Amino acid sequence: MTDRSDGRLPADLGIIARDVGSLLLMEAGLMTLSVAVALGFGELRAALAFLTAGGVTALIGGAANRRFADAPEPKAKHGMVIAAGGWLSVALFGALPLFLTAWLTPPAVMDAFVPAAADTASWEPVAVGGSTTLSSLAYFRDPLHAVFESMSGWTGSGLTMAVHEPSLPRAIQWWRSFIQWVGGVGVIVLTVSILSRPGSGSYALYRSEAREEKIHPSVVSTVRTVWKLVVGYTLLSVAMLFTAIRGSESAYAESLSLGDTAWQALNHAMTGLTTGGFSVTDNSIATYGSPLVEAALLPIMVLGAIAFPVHYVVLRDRNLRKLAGDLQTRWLFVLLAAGVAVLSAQNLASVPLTAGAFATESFLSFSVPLLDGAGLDAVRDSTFQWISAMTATGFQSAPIGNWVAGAKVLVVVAMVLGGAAGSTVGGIKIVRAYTVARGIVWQFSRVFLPKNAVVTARLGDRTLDRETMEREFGEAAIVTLLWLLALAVGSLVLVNLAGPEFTYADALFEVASAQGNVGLSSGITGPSMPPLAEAMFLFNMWIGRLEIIPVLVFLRAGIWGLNP
Amino acid sequence: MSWGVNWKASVGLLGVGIKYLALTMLVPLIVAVVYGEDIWVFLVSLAVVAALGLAVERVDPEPDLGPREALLFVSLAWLAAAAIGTVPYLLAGYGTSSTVGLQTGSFAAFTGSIVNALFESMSGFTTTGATVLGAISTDQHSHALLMWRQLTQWLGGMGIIVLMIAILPEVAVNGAQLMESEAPGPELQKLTPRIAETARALWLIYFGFTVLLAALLYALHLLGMAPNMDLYNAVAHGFTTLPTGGFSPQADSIGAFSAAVQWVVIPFMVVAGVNFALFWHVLRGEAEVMLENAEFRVYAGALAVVTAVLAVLLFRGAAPPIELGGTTQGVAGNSLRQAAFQIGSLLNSTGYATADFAQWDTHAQIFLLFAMFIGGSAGSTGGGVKIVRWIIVAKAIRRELFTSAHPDVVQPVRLSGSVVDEDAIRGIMAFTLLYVVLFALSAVFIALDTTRVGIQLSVLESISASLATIGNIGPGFGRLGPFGSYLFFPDTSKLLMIFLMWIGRLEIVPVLAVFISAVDSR
Repeated sequence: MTDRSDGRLPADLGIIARDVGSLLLMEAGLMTLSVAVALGFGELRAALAFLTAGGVTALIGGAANRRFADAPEPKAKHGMVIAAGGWLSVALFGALPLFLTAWLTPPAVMDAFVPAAADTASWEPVAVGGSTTLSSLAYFRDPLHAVFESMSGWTGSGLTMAVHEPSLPRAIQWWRSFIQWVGGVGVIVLTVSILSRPGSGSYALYRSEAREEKIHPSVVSTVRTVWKLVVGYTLLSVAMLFTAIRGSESAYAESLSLGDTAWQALNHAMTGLTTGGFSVTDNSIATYGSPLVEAALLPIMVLGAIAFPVHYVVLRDRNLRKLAGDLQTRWLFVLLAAGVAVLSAQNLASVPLTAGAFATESFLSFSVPLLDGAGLDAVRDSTFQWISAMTATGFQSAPIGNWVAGAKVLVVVAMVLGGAAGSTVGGIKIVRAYTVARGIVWQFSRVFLPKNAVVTARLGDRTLDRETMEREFGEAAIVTLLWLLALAVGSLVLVNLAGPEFTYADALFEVASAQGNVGLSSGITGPSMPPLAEAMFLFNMWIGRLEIIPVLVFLRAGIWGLNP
Repeated sequence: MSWGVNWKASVGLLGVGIKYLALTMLVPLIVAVVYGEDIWVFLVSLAVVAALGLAVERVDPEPDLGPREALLFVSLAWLAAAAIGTVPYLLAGYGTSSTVGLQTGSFAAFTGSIVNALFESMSGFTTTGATVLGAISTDQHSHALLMWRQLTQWLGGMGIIVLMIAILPEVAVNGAQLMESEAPGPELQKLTPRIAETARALWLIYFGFTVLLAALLYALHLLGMAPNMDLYNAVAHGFTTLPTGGFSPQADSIGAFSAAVQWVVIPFMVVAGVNFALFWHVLRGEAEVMLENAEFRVYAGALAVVTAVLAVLLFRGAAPPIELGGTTQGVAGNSLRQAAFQIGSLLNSTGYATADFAQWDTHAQIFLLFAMFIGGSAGSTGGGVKIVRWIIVAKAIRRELFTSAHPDVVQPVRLSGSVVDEDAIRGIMAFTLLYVVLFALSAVFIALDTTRVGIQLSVLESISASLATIGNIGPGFGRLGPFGSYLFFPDTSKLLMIFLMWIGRLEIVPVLAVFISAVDSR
């Protein structure tokens, strides 16, 4: 065994610890940056929490980094383990600011964060330190809730333990949006540089379509390129949302001050573009009750679901046709349109069956043939929720828990499928579904051919030889199977853990949402959910973000090491 | 329009099959004579089907099948059998309130009755066991018709094609092609040099177990341990146990009989899920072949573990207190029997029941759902994905994890000591995924289709409807429980389920291959 560096620790462990350490150092930087936000809003206790969290994270990350500074360069086999381990560590340390803020803030001070204008009649007080408070900050005194929130943020899921988001300190609101935003950039880098090993669909797709144009091979330059795109799009989204909220006629939107509007536009732009789904309003997007805001969010979410290498090429060449030339983008639009149509039809058919799921008054000032008020609302909700689900954003504009089982199952399909690989979406992703479909047809169409016949397969614009097709199909098939298997097992476990008021449809929906990093909820997720189910969701979000295999390789390496 | 296939050869051979299928109607005819029931139903059915067979045979009197023709033939054979099976249902029920009888009142009633009869018949031949027969009792239907229903499952169990190869020389010529198409499991070994002999051996084992079970059941009756298990019921249940069918002329399924009967049926259901080729080895004194078979070991292990857990759940009160077949809470004997019976029935897709498990609590139901997904062994009469495929999928996944970390190392997948061909692995991957996707999409379709007509279906119900038909299992949950019925579904959903039963029994491949080759050659 020559893999042992100094006779004590395997070299593999050193490489992984050093790289994970540098990820933690970066996270510490983000925490320190957020101190400024806390100070800016005068939240001194939160500032102290962020400073402490940053210090601890920097200390541990720095120690790991320094201790193994002379470890060899990582090889391909380390990439996955670093990614899986990195995501887990970053999520664990990302919980620190939430946890510390909750413990540093006394209940009386927490109450000050509840907005004076909020209608708190239906809010349940949280018992904390011998008294109660209405602020949801108190939930984060439980370390499991804090880790859950952080994992949900870093993986871009959007399931939340903060029941009433407006009652959180601004710094915490900011941290939730910020980690989704940074986590979104992280996952793009992950898919286009680390996970793109030969045989995985996304790699082949962007290598051959843009051999020179491929976002530069090294992680550092990928980050730089993606960064500019994300910042640019975010600024654009902020402007759009700001205008939409100001222009809305709903009572809630009109009650917002200029500063609040800007704050909400910023946060929702950050979490919408990176398809995360955390919100700073109490009932996600439903709070606005505004078709205009929903309409403004649609293009933002769709932008986030298109592969970033494609954005890059389109912007560089200033040619929109490149968009249609990309296989995944084409299918994304087809699936979005088809899904909206089917879900709308389903929800229209179910209007008489479901009381309370849809509004009765039309949101339009003019009448539309064939559709009454409830029908219009069904179409509007279906449109927004399908796009929110498929792009794995998880903004909620309708009470999905009240929908019929058939509609929930349809949304599950969207969450399982997801958008384009190379973006921030979850699910199995379009390119993989496409490869599986082509592969199955290809596999069976050769039933009559002799075994050694020369065959090629077409995948989008590429012609693949037999070996490549076999490898890509094998990889896509295994990931898809594992994904569905984890969904099946997770939903079966959850339906046993969740209370009797939840059906199997709710359990399936919730697990698909967590594992697809979506964030829509049928009502199971919350601070009162069983801790075992909460811990399971942590795992679902983690494997969903990393497309399962890296996590399994990580666990395997943890047990048997990286040597054969 | 050639579709790249010599369809005349396939259809010609189909005529031969139909001709002989008519002869099997002699069995219900005899039952009708014994019970003094209307014999015209089966006389007319027999004549009509025989005439149809003779006519179709003329399309190609000397059929010569290539691989494509064989696949087409196999796909068509099961459709044709199902279509022919409807004739007695339609005739016997004409002019009565029978749900599967021909109705001519209105166009919707007419198509509805045809769909129902086809559903019942397809469910029979594919050994599914899902039923749309309203009232299952000899007051409503003749003994002869109910026996026909049992017989369809027995004929379908070992595979009608295998049966034809075994006894019809004109089919045996093309035997090897056909058998591979009908039973495309990865482990089909030729037991003897001649395929017809292999087919005969399989059918003999099948026949032997059937006779043994019927004899044992009747013996229990003669010994006074099963008062209502008369000769009719003994034969009827012999017909549907070995093919993992699940039909019963009793509305309460096996629950209608004594505990002794239930204990006797359990081992036979277990046997039905084993690869029949293994019994052939055992008969030749090579018992070690069976014990060393990886699939058999997993099957036996899964049965034992799942049964044990379910027995504990039942013992702790997963079933409501008043329960057909005895209270299970706190009664070890009843818990074990109920668990063993239900798992023996659902794991390998039989579909009998001795308890209304649709009334059990969620934990126990979820457990049963899990058992349903496992399926029987390749080469058995069971449905589902088949255990050997799951084994290979699991091994391929494990290898993928290894090669992800070590891209340069080549590592083959082994099963029972021998290397599995890479192409076979990908074929199994493709099959399993297609199966899962079809199952999921069908569940979604069924959910949507039922809302369309104003029925609120729970997700567990729509999932179990899809799984129970594509896996040829039969009963599901909720309204589709073991004593429930598929009658309330709209015709569109029933047609989809008929399709699912068909492709589920053929393991999708022949149907898909025929379809793709037709599209490709256009």
